[in-house]
Amino acid sequence: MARPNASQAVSYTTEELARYEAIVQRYARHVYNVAYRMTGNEADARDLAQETFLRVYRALRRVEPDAPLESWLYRIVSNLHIDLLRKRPRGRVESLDAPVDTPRGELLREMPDPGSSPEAIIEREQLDATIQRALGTLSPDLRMVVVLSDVEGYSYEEIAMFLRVPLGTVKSRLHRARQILQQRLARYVEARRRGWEP
Amino acid sequence: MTLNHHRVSQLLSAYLDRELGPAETAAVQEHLLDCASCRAAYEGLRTTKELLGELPVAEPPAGFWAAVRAPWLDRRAAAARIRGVFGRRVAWASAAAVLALALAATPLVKGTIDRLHASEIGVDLYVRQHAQAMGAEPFTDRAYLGLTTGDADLVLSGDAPPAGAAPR
Amino acid sequence: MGVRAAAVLAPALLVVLVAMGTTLAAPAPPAPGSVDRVLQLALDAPRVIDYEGTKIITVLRNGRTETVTAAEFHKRPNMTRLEYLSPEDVAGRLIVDDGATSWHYEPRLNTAFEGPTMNTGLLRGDLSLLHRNYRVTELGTEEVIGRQAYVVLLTPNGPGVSRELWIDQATGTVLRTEERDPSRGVVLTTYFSRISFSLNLPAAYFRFRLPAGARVLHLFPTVDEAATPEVLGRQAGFTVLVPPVLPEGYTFSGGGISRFGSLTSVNLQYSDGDSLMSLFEAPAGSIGAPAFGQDVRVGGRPARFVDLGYFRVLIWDQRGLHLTAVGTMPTETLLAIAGQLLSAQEQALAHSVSQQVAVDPGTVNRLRREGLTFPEITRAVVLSQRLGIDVPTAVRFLQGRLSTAQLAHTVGVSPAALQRGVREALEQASSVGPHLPAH
Ligand SMILES: [Zn+2]
Repeated sequence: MARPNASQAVSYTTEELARYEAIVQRYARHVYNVAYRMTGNEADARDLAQETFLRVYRALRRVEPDAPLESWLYRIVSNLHIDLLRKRPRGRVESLDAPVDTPRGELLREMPDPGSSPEAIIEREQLDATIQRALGTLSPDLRMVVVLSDVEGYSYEEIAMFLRVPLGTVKSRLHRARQILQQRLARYVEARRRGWEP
Repeated sequence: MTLNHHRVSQLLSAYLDRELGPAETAAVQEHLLDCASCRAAYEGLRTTKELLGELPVAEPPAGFWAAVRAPWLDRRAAAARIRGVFGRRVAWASAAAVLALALAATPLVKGTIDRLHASEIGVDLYVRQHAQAMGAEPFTDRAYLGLTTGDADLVLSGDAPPAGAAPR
Repeated sequence: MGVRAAAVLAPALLVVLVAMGTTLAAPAPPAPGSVDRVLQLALDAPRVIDYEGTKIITVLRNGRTETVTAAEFHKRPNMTRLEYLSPEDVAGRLIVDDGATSWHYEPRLNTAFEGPTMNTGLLRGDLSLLHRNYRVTELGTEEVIGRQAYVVLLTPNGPGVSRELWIDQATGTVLRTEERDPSRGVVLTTYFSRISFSLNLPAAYFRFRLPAGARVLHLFPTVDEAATPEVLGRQAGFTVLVPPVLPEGYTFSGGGISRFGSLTSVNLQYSDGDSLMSLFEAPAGSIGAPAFGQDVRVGGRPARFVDLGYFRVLIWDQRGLHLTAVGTMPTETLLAIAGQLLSAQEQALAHSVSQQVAVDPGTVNRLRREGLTFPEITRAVVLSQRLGIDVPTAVRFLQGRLSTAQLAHTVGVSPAALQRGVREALEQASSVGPHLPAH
């Protein structure tokens, strides 16, 4: 009866294992990249991506050959990520991008500028690290949308489908995310606009 | 179509991404010609998008490929799954739902973690209990019962896919 | 209740009672046949002999058969050790059951699962429920792995799985079993490919020693076997639904509560003496439908059916509860059981049954809260009226908790006469509704 037969290699046929390998080749790098941009560190990204593929592996027989899997994979990554954050609360978590009510209406909370010396500005590596830190201050929802759009290059429609949210939600989340990032990265954004190419 | 400053400022990201319809696109373009503040905002968003797009593709650490290619060999991941029986398998439940394309009544609402988890292991949990109870019947085969409960244990501990999840 | 019932007895019932009087006076039928003795021999065997052998299990799963090999050790009266040898995904699995606790160890994960014993049946010595619900036929003798064996066929009176047993003439040990589903043929076969008997296997085989560094998961449901649905519902915080009708012969055999994470489920078990049906109930909000199985409709409402080969599972939501039925009965029977639960007008049925068997509605409602189906209630009431015993005694007898010999002694008739009276009473009761629709 309930003989789980997908927990080991031996249970799958050669064809099925070849299909799994093809899925790994096609998606694993992107999944890792998204996981890395979401978590901001190698260890968590590795765990998230591995766990995601373990789930693909287990469900292999229910995966239609040649069906696009982005939607499913990114949803797994997204859910695992949220789960990870829940399990690892860093003190009291206050969403930095949550609007703060003021008498004059909505106001976005300011982050101290993470940039330092002028030399740092021309160090691409440091810029990347700064961008990654800025991404890390976004709520998971905003982060996922901006990573899928601006890092991975998906369309609004695709993102809406992946995350199962309305198109309008993608639109507004992305706009919010970019506004926040722009503030956090103001120094770099300004530098580039003035032609200081890093 | 004419759009006011506030409305345009909300549409700048979508404009940047060419995700607006023709009428809206034209209206935003028109406003940008007249409004310095929106032009500056647009430039800021464009540069931000550019910076993000230039991020290098992260290189997975050593061991990642081997572990992904042979997930059944990764003891560390297995141990982690067992520790996290009640947490980490949530996404799998929702993913399975997507693939099976048949799940009728499980809205994927946040905060339904236990519910999702329960729906994933429910059948095995109940089959395990049922098999245990069958031990009270006089001529039940014990080796078969052991097989059944053992299989259910693996699902409950997060090491195997749910019973019945195989194709038919 | 007896007085009141007698006052409103239908004339037909009086006729039956008179007929029974003649039955009691008739000469005793022949002593139980040899087939009953063979079955009793098999029932007693685990208590008198140890053995060690290689067992082959062939079971239907997803339309295919799968073969599993295990080394099986038994120490009297109720200890088991199982070492699974093949296929590869179960190779190395170890199960050690000392009659109180069952340990399952999975070396690949270095993880042990601790749970209740699965050997409770080895100490129970009563077959009266089985005899009532199955036709027991001896098919002769055959040789199994060089040993002479009686072949016995158990066929349920209702729909369900029949079982053939090859019982070792010398020891009573079941050497081979075959379970046959009327709609799908053989669903489970188990047999020893080799066995050696002993009077004393080392006790150390049956004590589990936790390997170094092993992780332990405890899987103990809080089962209270004596609990009624009413009590369980109070503990779980919701009203437990009791199936109005089950296949003939299934009787309430116990219940319990299990908690797993935040999921609290009530479990009702119904046995026919050889097979078991479990009904699990949990608040609908605490569990969703699984992502696999087939969509089916029960009483026009969506349900999920999961065919695990040997076990079949039906899942549906009803009145704020998530219900799961698990059993080996045919799919149509499971669907019919669920259909009855969904459509049942509890009060109307209780009223109708109390009218038909001339018993007060309070008694019917009380027995419902104790987990009895309407047919069970009918049988218990008719039997109590016929034998002049109280309803609780009739219930205990029908549930197999009181043997024929014990009841015959209580009533003061011979066991054979009692059996005949019981047969007639049950026949009479079977004409009273509700029933599962025939397929
Ligand atoms: Zn403007």
